[in-house]
Amino acid sequence: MNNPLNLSNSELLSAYLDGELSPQSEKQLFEQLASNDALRSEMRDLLAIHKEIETGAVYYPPMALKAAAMAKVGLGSVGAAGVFTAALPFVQKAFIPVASALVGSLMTVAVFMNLMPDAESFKKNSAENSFKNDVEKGEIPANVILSESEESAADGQREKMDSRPHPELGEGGNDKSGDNPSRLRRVSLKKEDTFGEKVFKNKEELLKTASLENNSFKNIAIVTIPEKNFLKENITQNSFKSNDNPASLKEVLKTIEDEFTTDGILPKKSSWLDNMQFEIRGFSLANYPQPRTLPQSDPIFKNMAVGAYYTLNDENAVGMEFGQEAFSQKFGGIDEDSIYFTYQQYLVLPWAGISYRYTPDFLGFKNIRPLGGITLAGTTGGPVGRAMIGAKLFPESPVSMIVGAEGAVFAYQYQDKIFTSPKFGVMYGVSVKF
Amino acid sequence: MFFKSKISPDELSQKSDTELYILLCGEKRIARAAFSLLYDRHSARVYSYCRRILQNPATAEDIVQEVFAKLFEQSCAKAEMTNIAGFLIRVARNLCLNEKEKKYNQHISLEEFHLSSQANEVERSELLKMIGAALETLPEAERESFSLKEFDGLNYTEISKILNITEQNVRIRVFRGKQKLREILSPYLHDSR
Repeated sequence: MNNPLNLSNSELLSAYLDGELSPQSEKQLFEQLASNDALRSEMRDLLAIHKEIETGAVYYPPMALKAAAMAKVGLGSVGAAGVFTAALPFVQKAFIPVASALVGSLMTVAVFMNLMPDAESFKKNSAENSFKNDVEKGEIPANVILSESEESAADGQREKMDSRPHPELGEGGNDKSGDNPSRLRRVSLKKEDTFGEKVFKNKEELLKTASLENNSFKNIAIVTIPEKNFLKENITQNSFKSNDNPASLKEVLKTIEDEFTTDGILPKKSSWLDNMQFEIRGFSLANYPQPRTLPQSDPIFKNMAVGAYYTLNDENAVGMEFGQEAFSQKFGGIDEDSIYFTYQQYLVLPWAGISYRYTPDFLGFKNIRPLGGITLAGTTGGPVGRAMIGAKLFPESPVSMIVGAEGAVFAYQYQDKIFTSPKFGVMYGVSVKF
Repeated sequence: MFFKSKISPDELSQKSDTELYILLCGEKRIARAAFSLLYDRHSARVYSYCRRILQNPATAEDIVQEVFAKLFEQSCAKAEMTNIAGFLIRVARNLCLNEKEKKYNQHISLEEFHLSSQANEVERSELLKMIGAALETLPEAERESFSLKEFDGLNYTEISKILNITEQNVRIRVFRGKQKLREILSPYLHDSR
């Protein structure tokens, strides 16, 4: 700027401070400054204001904001492998709907499998009805089918009865000897059938009954629910059938006593790994208070937990869990000027702790069990307590689904006061056992 | 198939804003680096601007994200851009005004727009607080021009585009603002010397 407009000294000074003055005009300004006290004072004032604004007026955004801004435009977090990073936003968006759909489908299947008659039970019911009809018509004496001991007194009718397909096992289920075998089944089967079979709730009951009614037991075999194939194999491999032979009967009973657990007749676990189950679950929990800021970091592993549990028995397990998630914190305190202020932050914290799982069997459904659990964990900022309630789908199978509600409370201290950050929402995951 | 970028980080960091802007919608790795550089260069200015206007850090953070998302969209839409800083502040200004309108559901006067008394900002220096208070007494046209020039570091051309007035007009407003500010603060400035 050459001062073609005959700017005043003040205007020249302002242009100089803006760095827009030509060398010629600068010279003119400096000449004025040398002789003009008021102009020098004005320059000092303007410089002071300019410097103050320049050094003190900048706010720096939080570190996490950059990652959030990049994520918002699909550029994701820096540093992860290319393909994974590119896929991450999609995976994150798709995870909840896909997981929900999967869990919903599995729940539907499980409910239907429990409530709808399957082919086997349909066959059984048909055979049962047919058999009852025969009894009602007088073709088969009623006393034949009442009990094992009565059955033994009705030898004359047994052959006729046994020539029918066995109501539960079908054509191949009858013993070749022609005898009607007593059957021992899993504890989860509650009802007793009416075809001369006895169903025992546990091993003790079986052994007790066997000792009391030893003379009336002609045959004994282990038959279990269809998916327990290993037991069927055991029947073949270990000859768990007495085949009307008293010595064989004793052998089978001894085998049951030695090799099966007390609760049911499942084989005893042979190693600690057999008693382990592993779980991975994700959760979508709302924070209270609702966070007004973004999480301070954006790790890939978040809102998830993994755990390893030791199965104490059919219903109880204890273990350890590790997880990571964001907790919205809002706390207040007195600053050095004795002014009360509140502060909010949204920290992503890893946590680890001990956990207990309870999967009771009181509903009697073989494919769904209620699930409860509590976890006590620690973070770098304070303790975390968690509780969950839900359902476990296909609890007997090696891979089962879990779904339900979960809550967590993070407690922390600031200036001698304890604050809490509660969360509540849904959880879903997979449990694996060997 | 992924190819390694032929541009090194050093080369990227030496590129101008406009060159980086063009790269925003290109190869992902380069786009990420370009976005990161642009963010590093301008985020503090945009964030400061939003915070001063809204006086709410959380909302300011949301708007910063929006502003940079708009920049990214513009790049992908192949929109021509020569002044990134000006664009960012212009978008931030519009979003902040919208936000204030949403919040208060009333006509927004620039009386309350720039640099109010900065309540709860104990970390601000005494002089800066006084500058803020003094600015409140200026007419809104002068106050906004002065703020964009001094606080947000924009040049006269950029401000003229944002406010849609001539560059000369901006110069006059800023100059008047400075003079009035000095007049108000003069006793304090002299006492503190």
